[in-house]
This record gives sequence, structure tokens and C-alpha cells, in this order.
Amino acid sequence: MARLVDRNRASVLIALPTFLGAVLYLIVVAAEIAGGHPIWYLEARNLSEAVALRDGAAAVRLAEQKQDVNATGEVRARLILDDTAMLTPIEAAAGARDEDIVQLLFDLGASPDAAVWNRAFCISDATRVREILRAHRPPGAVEDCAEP
Amino acid sequence: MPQVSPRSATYALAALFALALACDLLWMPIQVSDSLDEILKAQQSPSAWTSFTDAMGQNVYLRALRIAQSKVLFDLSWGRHYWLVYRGFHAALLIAAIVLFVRALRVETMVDFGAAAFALVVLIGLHTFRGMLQEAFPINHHLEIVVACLITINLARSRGGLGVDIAAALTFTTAALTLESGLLVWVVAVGAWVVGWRGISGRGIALLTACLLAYMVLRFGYLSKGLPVLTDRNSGYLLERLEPDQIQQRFGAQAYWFHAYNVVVSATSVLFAEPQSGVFIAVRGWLQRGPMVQLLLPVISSVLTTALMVWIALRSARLRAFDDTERYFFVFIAVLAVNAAISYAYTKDEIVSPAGAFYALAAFGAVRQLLLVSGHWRPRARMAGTLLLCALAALWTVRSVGVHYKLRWQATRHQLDWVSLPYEWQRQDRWPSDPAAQQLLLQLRRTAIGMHIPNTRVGEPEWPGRLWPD
Repeated sequence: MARLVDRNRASVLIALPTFLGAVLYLIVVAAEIAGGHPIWYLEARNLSEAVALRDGAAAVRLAEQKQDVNATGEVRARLILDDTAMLTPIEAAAGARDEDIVQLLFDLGASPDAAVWNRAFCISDATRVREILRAHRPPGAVEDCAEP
Repeated sequence: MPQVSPRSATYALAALFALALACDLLWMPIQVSDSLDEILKAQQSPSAWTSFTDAMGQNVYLRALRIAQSKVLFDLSWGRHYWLVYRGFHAALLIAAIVLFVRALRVETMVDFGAAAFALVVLIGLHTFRGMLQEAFPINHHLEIVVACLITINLARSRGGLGVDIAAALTFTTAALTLESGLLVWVVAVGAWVVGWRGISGRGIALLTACLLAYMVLRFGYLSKGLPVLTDRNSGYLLERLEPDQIQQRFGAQAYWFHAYNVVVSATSVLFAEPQSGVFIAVRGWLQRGPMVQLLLPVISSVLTTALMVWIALRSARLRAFDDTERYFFVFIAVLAVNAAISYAYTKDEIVSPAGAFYALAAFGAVRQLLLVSGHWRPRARMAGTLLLCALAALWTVRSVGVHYKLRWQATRHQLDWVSLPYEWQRQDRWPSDPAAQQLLLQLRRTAIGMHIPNTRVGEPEWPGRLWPD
């Protein structure tokens, strides 16, 4: 036992966590630079998913690539709803309960019709999201969230 | 097979961390809050000298070099590479801080190597270190002060000479004109001289003291700048953060109590990781019956490390021993005391970051001494001591690796600020009318949005947010 814990071996043992931590950190950063972060790997496939993931930068990038800010897109299961769903960006942003992203979509030119607006209004119970939606209510839209 | 020396192994370990942290810093947009206005001012300023002289006469602070540096970097960007220059400078400063830290340890033996590896994770894992990375205005001046203090301790441990004395004076002048905590350079130099590290000679100390007096005369005499008042900033107090008007309301008549609180908690923050920025977050978490493990991780690791230092210091006092371990302790206590005193106006983890760096130097001394002392212990006691140190190093490593999560989270925040900026500013009637400023804003935004930053906002997976809470 005395040999096992001589000063030099003890020093190496104490340095081990630091070494492992540094290597792990570097691997994670290298993976991120290579394009695939090992922890946060979810990436938006379309504008609706970008806002569902609350990724404003991806939403702007996709809008600048001429993706329609009013078109429906497939949103993977459990991002907003339990199942995969076809949602417009406004519906997805309201479902993510993120008022900044909802506002961003209006700034990017979103103009939901009455049916989309109503679905977005009902999908979110966040007060600020509903306030922003009310400020952009299209003609004919009503706040009716009663189940059919 | 060529053998790697303990010193080379330490530098290699430090390089791994420095490289990873530098990549994290580079992969982050320039921030909007506290930064964009400075960049726009730099654009409008005709020269760095004008920025410097204009800043001399402004407000209660004497931080003229802070403004001038922003202008110098702006001009170095050549109208295109703002992100690269500002973030690159931040990353370069960080690498400099880590290299200077390791150099100050003077690693020669395997025992030094083990202690240095421990000190490295203390440096990076301490919450005061995070403040030097997460934000930039657009330069992180707290990091600059830490670099200046580490330059000074390295100068103090050098062979000395006229060049060293002049370098120390230049370091002091640069740091003092950047932030008030730059005055700590004088404390480091004098503290090192007192304990016998005399690379900065008596003549150099006299020169530094003359510079300090000149600073006082310039600040309080010639420029008639006062001291910060209660209503300057928000600040933490017990379990909450108080806004300036709340501070005025609560302490207006008894400001000394608030100042004393700030000084004491700034010191305990470095020693025990609690409170942080003036708020007792672990106590608050306990009162709110929140999950405690992650809140206690920093407190436990800091308390155990401080306890180790105290034990080693008491043992040295009993044996009347005085070597580099005690020298590190003495300089750390001097820096901590003055750094805490400087924080009297408001508490912020970043302000005590120089004391945090010297805490890590003191931790090096304590662990090194323990490893040397434990050589005389019985094998079982030696094994227990080694395992305890190893477990403590593991706790600090968890804290260090958490910096990555904090930086990714912060990068996402900075990026989001850019996303909505033009629309927000137009709504608030803040959008500049100057076409050059508009072009600059749009260019900075384009660069920020173009970065593919991992999305930490979806809350998946949940464990990073639980392990390293804000």
C-alpha cells in the first residue's frame, strides 16, 4: 500500500480528474465545431420546427432562404404535441409558449388567416403570447377555444 | 521513450482546457447589452486618443483605457471582422491568463504537477472565473485585470532588473486606467515583495507607489471624480437582488451597513462560493425546498478547499515554516482583502475575479504542502488523504466542465438578442439614422445569426440545467 500511494503516484491520481475533464471538454467542443454537438443535437428541419425549438436565429436564416412564414411544416413528436403534426410557424411558436418568437414571426411578415390564428390562440395559454396574437388578430378571427 | 517533465505535463493539461475554453468563447456572437453601444461609440470616435481623452472627463469612474481599447479593436477590424477581433481578443486574453497562471506555479516536481492540476480546476471551476467569460463590454475588462495581476506575480517571481520594474509600472498604469480593480496590481506587487518575491525591486515598488499616488491625485484632485453612490447599480442582498431605488429606500440613511455587507460577502463568496453576487443562493434553494445537490456542489468543494488551506496555514504557523506555500497564502489574503474592500459599492462575482485567481494559487500551495506532508503519514492515512483530494479534484472538475454549458447557454442568449434587435429598436425609435451605423448593426447581426449554435433552449436533455443551475 505504501508504494501505491507514494507522492508521485498520489500526484498522478489527483491530476486524473482534471485530465479527464479537460479531454471531455475538448471532445465536446470539437464535436460541436464538426457540426454535431453530442448533448444539444436537435436541429430544425423547417421554419415550423425552428420556432418550436425556440431557435430564433434558425427561423431568421430559413426566412431569409425564402421559406414561407405562413406555410405549414412537419413538427416532430413531443416538440409541441405528442404526435408528429403539420403546423404553421405561428401555431408552433404559440405552442412553444414563447412570446419573443411569436413577435419575431410577425416581424418577419407572418399573416395568419382566421383559422390559423384561432388555432394558435387556443394552443397556447401563455398570457403574453395571447396578447401579441390579439394585437395581430386578422378579420373574422374569434377567441373560441371550446372543444367541438 | 522520451519522458515528459512535470512542467510540460502541466502546460499540456492547461493547453487542453485553454483550447476548449477559447473555442467556446470564439463560438459566441458579440453581445448586445453593455457592448453594442460601446461599439457604436467606437465607430463614431475619430481616434483611440479621442476616445481616451473624452472618457477622462466622463462620469464618476476613471476607465479611460477601457473605452480606448474598444476603439483600437474596432479599428483593427478593418470594417469587416468585428466578431473575429473582439472575440479573438477575448480568447487570447483567456489563454494568456491560463498560461500566466501555470507559469506562476513554477512546477518542477511530480508533486507540483498534481497540485497544479488541482489548482487549474479550482481556477476554472470557481464561479468568479465564469464572469470573465460569459460577458464582454465588448472586451472583458475583469479578465484583463486578472491577466495584469498574474503578469505582476510572474514579474515578482522573475530574476528582476530595470526592465521588470518598468514592466510592472506599465502593467499597473494600464490596469488602473481600465478598471478600479486594476489597483490590485499594486497590492500583488507589494504583497509579493513583503513575502520575499523581489523580482520587482524596492525601486520598482517605489515607482508603482508613485504611480498609485499619481492615480489618486488625477482621479480625486485634477479630475474631481468621486466614488460610486448607492444608486449606481443593482446588487444582491441576502436572498434577493435589489434595484437601485430599493437600495436607496432600504439603506439610504445607513449606507455603511450595505457597504459592510458587500465587503464581507465579496470575501466569503471567494472562500465558500456563497453568496454569489451578494445572494445566498444555496440558502434560498434550501428555504424554497429546491433540489440541493447542485447548489451544494460549489459550496462543498469551496468549503473543503478553504478548510484545507486553513489547516495547512495553521500547521505552518505552529512549525514557524515559511516557504512558497505561505507566500501564496499571504499574497492571496492581501488580494482578497483589498478586492473585497473595492467591492464596497455593489457586489458582483466578476469584481472579485482577481481574488478568485489568487485563491487558486493558494490552493496549489495547500495541495502541494499536503502531498509533501502526507509522505510522513501511515500508508492508510496517506491513502485516505489521496482519495479525499482526488474526490475534491473531481468536484472541482465537474464545476469546470459546467463552464461549457454556461457559455453555450450565454451564446444562445446573445444570438437571440441580435435576432429581434432591428425590430425592437425600430419599435422603440432607437434605430440609428446614420447609414454607417445601420450598416454596422446589420453586419454584426448577420454574423451573429449566421452562427450555428447548439440549441440549449429546448430544455432537452434536462440534466445540464439541473447540474449547473443559474
